[in-house]
Amino acid sequence: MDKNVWILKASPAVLEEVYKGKDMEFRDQVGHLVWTNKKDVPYVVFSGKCPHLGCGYKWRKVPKLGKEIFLCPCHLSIYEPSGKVLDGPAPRPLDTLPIRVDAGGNVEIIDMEFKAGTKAQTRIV
Amino acid sequence: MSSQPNVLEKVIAFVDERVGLKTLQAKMLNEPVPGGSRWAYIFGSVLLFIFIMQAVTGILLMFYYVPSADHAYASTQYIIHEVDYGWFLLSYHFWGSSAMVVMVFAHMSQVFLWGAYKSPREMIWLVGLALFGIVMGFGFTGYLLPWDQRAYWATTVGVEIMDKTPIVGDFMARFLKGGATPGQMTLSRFFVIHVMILPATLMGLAGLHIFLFRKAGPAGPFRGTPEELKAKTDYFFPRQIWKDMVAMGAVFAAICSLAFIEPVVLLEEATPDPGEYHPEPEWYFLFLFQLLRLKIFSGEFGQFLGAIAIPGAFMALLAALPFIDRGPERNIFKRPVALIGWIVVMAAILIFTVSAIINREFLD
Ligand code: FES
Repeated sequence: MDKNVWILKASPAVLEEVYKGKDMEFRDQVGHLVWTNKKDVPYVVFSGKCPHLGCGYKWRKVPKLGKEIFLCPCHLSIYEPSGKVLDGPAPRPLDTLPIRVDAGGNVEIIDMEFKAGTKAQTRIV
Repeated sequence: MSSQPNVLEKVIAFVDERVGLKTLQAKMLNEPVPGGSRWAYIFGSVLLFIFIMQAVTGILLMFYYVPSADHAYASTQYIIHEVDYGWFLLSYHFWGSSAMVVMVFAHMSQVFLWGAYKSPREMIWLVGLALFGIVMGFGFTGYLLPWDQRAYWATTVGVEIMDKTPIVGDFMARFLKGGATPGQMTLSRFFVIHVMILPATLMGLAGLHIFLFRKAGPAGPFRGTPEELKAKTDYFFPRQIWKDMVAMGAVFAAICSLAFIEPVVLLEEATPDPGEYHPEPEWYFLFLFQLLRLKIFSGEFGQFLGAIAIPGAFMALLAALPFIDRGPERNIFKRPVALIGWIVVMAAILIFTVSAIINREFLD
């Protein structure tokens, strides 16, 4: 089955929030480095699986907050565009996925999946 | 007039001699019901009836249903749109499962309020609790089989919840999913559990439940002296059977009406993209789902508390009940803790279910 992901053309502010000024490293189950996301690539891809209990979350404009957020309809976790938890039961931010962007701006995603419901990321795919 | 027995009588006599039909019949029907037959005692028989109907409709559905990720959805649509009365069969099976859950709650409440779990009926109660788990398991596994969005998401979240059980959770979740993510393996496993493992377990346990019940005998009403109860004793046949049959008829009519008024309609085929669909479990799991939305159950520990620890502790309390509550008093009006406890639990389930329904509006 296909996977669900969210691809964001990220603003510098969002990039800063996601990467905190550092490249992001991805490792396989035994800890070997498999990929590094460079902090200045202007795309961010999140796994479509809510880190709470695995529902599919959605992109919502909230006029009241004056901004756009990710909302998970299951137990109402709310995330900022950078994946940070704004509200709700989620134990950790959205999972950023490793990506490769070619010269034409095509985003290629390296498939990964993490266990839902844990504070730390545990890779399962 | 001849006194010669006819062929049928001869056959019956032949079987009776070898099987003991008459004793069996006497044993089945002449069970004394202390204090007389009552409407309050119908639930067990009604559950048995619902289960038999679920088995019959389930077998008929299996004639057409294909348990593969590629065909489950299409074959369910085929049942609904092409098979003669297929929509009715499926809808009956669907509403039958809800009726089962309602009746389980009613049955457990009756036993609880009447204090019928007390000595010497502890084992009946324990087996009954296991049966309750089986019924919930039926609901959970059956929900996935149509392989539509509703099915897919309820299963995804349900399995993640199980994953939070300490020690065995991770294994259980991977075993149920048959891999890291839900897919064909999950469907195959849920199917086998739903049509083989659970029915076999239910039949075994229900048999044991009824055997233990017959051994201990019905508890009877919680008021009245032994002499009074004895004086009013009925036998299972005919008065209690009559009440049971009327109740079965009413339940059958109710399920049929629901199937007609609100037949099953599938959503889109399952995909990992929920689109505009807001995932939600079946109504009898809604309160648990809503519970997990609460702030106190957020984060890794909170989640464990809400999804596993509290429901687990509640079930453990129910299991321990006959051993903690050993007083001989069965009158519910003289057992204030039990009465208040029951009211609180029912009210909490009701409130959480209703608030989950109200919450739906705010999701768009
Ligand atoms: S699964 Fe997203 S909030 Fe629970």
